[in-house]
Amino acid sequence: MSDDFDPAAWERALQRLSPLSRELCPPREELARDPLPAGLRRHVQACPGCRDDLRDLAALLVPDPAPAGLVGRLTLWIDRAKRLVEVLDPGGFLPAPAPAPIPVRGDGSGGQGGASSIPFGDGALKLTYLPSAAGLDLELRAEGAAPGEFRALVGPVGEPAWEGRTAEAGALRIEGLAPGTYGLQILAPGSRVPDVELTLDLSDAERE
Amino acid sequence: MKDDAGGSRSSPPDDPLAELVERARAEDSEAEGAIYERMRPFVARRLREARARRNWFWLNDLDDVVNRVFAQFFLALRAGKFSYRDPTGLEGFLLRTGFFVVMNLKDKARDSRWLSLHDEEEGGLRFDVADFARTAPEDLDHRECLKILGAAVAALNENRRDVIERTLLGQPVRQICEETGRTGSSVSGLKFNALKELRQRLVEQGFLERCGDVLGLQEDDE
Repeated sequence: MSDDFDPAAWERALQRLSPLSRELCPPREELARDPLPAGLRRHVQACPGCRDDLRDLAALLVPDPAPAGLVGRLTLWIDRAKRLVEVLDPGGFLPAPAPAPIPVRGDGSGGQGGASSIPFGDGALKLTYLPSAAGLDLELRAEGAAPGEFRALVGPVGEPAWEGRTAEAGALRIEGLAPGTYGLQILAPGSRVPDVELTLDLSDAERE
Repeated sequence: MKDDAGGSRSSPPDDPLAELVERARAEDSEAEGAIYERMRPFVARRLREARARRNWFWLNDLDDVVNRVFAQFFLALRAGKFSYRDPTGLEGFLLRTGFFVVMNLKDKARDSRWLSLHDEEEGGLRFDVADFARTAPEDLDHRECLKILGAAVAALNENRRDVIERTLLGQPVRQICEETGRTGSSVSGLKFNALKELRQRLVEQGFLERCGDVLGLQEDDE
């Protein structure tokens, strides 16, 4: 090995590994496919350049949300962008267990809301449903020894999707949901694996 | 780019856009002009919004981008890559076309762009060059060389690896100094020593013989 070390040559070689060079990246036509091909998901997860591109695409496809409270800030208005967000979300990379519908309702007392609790960590996650002027409010609250910080992804099929993080210790409120069936994922901050994944049945009608 | 609209669906008979699109497909310039006039405000607004939200500082001439979008759209239309379904489908196709136009400009601005080492929107996910290298396409000729190179970077000590990975993300020295609290000479020293260590390790493994040519690393081995 000679001593004529040329750092510039080695840096040039290393630049082949730069996400900015896109040498390892799929063509943008592939990246923009809906849904993202399964074979590309691992790459996107590892590539900050492709994630940046997908955020650019989402910014184009999703109009500026109306500034109206939490839902207004977090609402994504078209289904295509919702799926993109799900791709970007680490929870979307793992096969989901078959969801079991959870009625977030009281005991038939229409108009008064209700609550359900499910196991979460070493404690429970309480899901409280409250009718409001804007629709239905859903509060997620960690109880007992459940993790106090978490992210929540909520999205009905073909409708807007919301993402939220606990604004106060252990609690998150999503306001103005329309009645319907929603998928819900709960993830720890930074986690790629949903701790909780289920389907919610939010209804404003009397339950039998 | 193929439109993903279902072929069996058809537009309402009173949808004037459907007729315009069909005429434009036949290179009717009047129809092309009508589509341009009708859809241009929508495309321009979305591009303007996205530029502001995503800080596309490299997108200076919005009108030029809009015009490129429509030029590419009409080419795609004639090439049979778009089937009209409804106005929303047309809007979506135009926006995707806009994405490709914008990405071309983004690539040209590579020297003035950089990415963060930690992706806060992904919960602080860190760029890992070895993990990234392992996602190299199967059909890439020098895939194994890049994987070896990535693994070698990952084996550097934390400080050297940090500077190398930030460099690969386009961060200039001043940015690395700002984010790490190091001096310029410290960053430069770490980068130099990292490259030297990489070379020493890889040369001992016969890396130059296997990968020198494809990676432009020919050295006199006498």
